[in-house]
Amino acid sequence: MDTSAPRTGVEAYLIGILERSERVSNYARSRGWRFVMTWAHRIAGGILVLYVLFHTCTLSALHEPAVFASKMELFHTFIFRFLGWVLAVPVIFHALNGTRLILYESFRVRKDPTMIRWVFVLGAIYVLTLGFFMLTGNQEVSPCFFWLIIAIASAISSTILYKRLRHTQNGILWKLQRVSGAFLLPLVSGHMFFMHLNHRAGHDVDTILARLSAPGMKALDFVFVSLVYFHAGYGLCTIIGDYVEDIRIRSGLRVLVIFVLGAFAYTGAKIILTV
Amino acid sequence: MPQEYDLTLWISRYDPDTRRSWVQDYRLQAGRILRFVDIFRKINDEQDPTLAWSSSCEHGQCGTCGMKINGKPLLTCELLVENAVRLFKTQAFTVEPLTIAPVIRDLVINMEEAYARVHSVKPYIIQPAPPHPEGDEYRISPKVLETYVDATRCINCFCCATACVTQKNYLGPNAMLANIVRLMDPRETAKQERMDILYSEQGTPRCRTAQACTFVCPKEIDVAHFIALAKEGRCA
Repeated sequence: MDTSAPRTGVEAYLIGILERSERVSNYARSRGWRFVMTWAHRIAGGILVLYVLFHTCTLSALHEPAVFASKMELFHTFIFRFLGWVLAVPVIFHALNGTRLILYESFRVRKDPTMIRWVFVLGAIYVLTLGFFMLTGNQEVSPCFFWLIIAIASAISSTILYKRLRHTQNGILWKLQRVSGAFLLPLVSGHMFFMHLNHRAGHDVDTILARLSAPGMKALDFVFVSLVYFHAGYGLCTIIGDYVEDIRIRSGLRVLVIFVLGAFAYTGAKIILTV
Repeated sequence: MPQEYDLTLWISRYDPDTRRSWVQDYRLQAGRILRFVDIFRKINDEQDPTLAWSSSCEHGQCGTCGMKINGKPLLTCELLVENAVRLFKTQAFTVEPLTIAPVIRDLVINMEEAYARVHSVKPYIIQPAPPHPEGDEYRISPKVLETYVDATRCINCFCCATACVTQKNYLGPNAMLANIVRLMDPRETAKQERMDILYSEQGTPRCRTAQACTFVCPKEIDVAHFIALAKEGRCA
């Protein structure tokens, strides 16, 4: 993604739009597009943290199905459905860009400009397909089959990465951040897809409760929540470490992040295990 | 292509006696193949002898003249006016000191403080391997040398460290490189000591693979590649 490299077609058009922002253009010219991608990754991650907190709050109403059902009415409005679709952008961008970074760091895939193009192409396909299913809303898939495939894909991707990292001397939390990312890639993108692919799965309280009562789903969702909160917490602590020099302030902020995310993770896990 | 350009330079100034910082603008005409260090000299000669800046070799070997031009860290002895105009698509430039260490005056930073990071990784062979039994010199095979020879070209200009996403609590790309290059050097036997530095909290965990280091490196070293090798555990 060297700024001087010639571009054609859609790519040139999109870069032209991005370069209209003076700040983005300056960073792209002075630090490269991959620097801009790093910032976009962080911003997407920040949005996802906020959404996960919001999502946990919403799901906490599952203990009272009638209250939950009435809250869900709000999410059936056009604006919330549109926001739900827009959320797919940071989700898939963070997932695919994270994959690009893992491939660069651990699998020596150095063709970064090509990888960045794939991030955007696959991301666009995902978002458009999701939008299509949201509009049609008449699909039905077997939850058991769908989640089995997703669980297998998550297990394979995280195991491959774990094998790659296990003998390195990188810190254990650093490794876990990467492995959790590899596990979450199929799980998060699959989760979002499933909720809209199978219309009732994301909207009908009885369907949600029936799904959550299955032991296999409980186990998978428990792993899901644990890894999401770990991944988010480690990411935030990393950002704090990058900017806060004073060790007391840094430690204080990290404790705060761990406490808040830990409380939300506990709430999320409790919903899954007790509903 | 014009033979002369009408340049506007907004240069960051700092007076350590009054601790005052300000931006001063200079307007001048400059030939297309003048370098930025020549422009600073021209300003000293024709407009303002008080402007402080630093350079030594002026042919891209010492790393003393690193500055930020329109936000991009680079060696001003290597930047021709015509290239700057083409790169930034303007004839107006902001000139700032590198952010890696405190400013002493105007565009001059405290290199001693900047070098503290490099010194912390022990940029020398800590424990040399015994010499080759058939002679005094230690022989490195060309195949082994090829894997890290690019990294030996680093001149510690600190452009990469200035461009890096991580500005705090990090050794910085060039100091990381100074460690990695000796880790890859077969003459070094203190591998574990180097690994401990490499994977410490100020080492690899702070790199975000934004690759700005590679993008700005005046010596065209793929710095991010070497740091990624360290993360992969393939540099010892």
